[in-house]
Amino acid sequence: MRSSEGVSKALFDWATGFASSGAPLRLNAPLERSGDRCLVTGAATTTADYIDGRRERRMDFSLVLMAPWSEGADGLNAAALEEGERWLDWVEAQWPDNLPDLGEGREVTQLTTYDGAPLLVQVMPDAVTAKYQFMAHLDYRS
Amino acid sequence: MAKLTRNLFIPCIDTSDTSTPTWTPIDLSTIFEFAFNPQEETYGYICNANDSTEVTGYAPELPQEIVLDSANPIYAFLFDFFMGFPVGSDLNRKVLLCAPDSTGAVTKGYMWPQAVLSPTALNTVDGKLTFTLKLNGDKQDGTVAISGGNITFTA
Repeated sequence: MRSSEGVSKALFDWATGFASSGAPLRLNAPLERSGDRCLVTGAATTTADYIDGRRERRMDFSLVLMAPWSEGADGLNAAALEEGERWLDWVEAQWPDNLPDLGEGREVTQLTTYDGAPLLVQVMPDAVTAKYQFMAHLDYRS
Repeated sequence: MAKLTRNLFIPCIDTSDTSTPTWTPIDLSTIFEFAFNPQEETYGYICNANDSTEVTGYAPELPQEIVLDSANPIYAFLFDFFMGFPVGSDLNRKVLLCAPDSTGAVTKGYMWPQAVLSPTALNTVDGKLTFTLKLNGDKQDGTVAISGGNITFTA
């Protein structure tokens, strides 16, 4: 098995366990309407080469969602963050008992969220919705 | 020609407390730089205008590390070993270096019966336990056989 093959799929299957009242979670899909959401995965990078031939790799992944947005101080923007914040808490809470099944020969070594990453990605041209991104990463040994 | 990759050079520590060695490989390490540390003497012979340097011996050593992983046998052994703060001969352990032969197969073995495991640091932020294998004394040359998870050395 190659070192990255199937990892995005395994992450997506695992992420569908995140309970939400929103639209169905999709993988690397375009977002158009408020309530749309998807899991975005990145290419894995090698973080350690071990002398026995194994590697430690890191894959970044995010929950990206569209939510209502306003210019005012009406609490709408704070409410829009709630699902993403629940997602970040959920990701952290899965360690170490509920991890993505990466298959034979791969072992998850860390699962955690990014501190300090900006959450608001873009206010859409309609000026009533915005795109948010909530980042985490998976480390695995193969 | 076989390109010799890092996984063909396998440092091992005898983790057994009996006379029959249990060779446990140092696996989850990202460093390997075997230092020969030649001991040199310089002579000023009257027949030469310039000094001559001669190697009189070696003090080889191999700095190493291991990932903090509770399921890893070499970490489990080393953590308990070093946290006993051993001194003197209590730090002696047999060390074996497996290496490839001319075909690329791992069949060569170099064993130091009087090696010393010298601890350096336990770094929980980086997730590593670092130490140095001080390869003291006379080494024994031999062959190794690797079968499954078992390594056998024959002098």
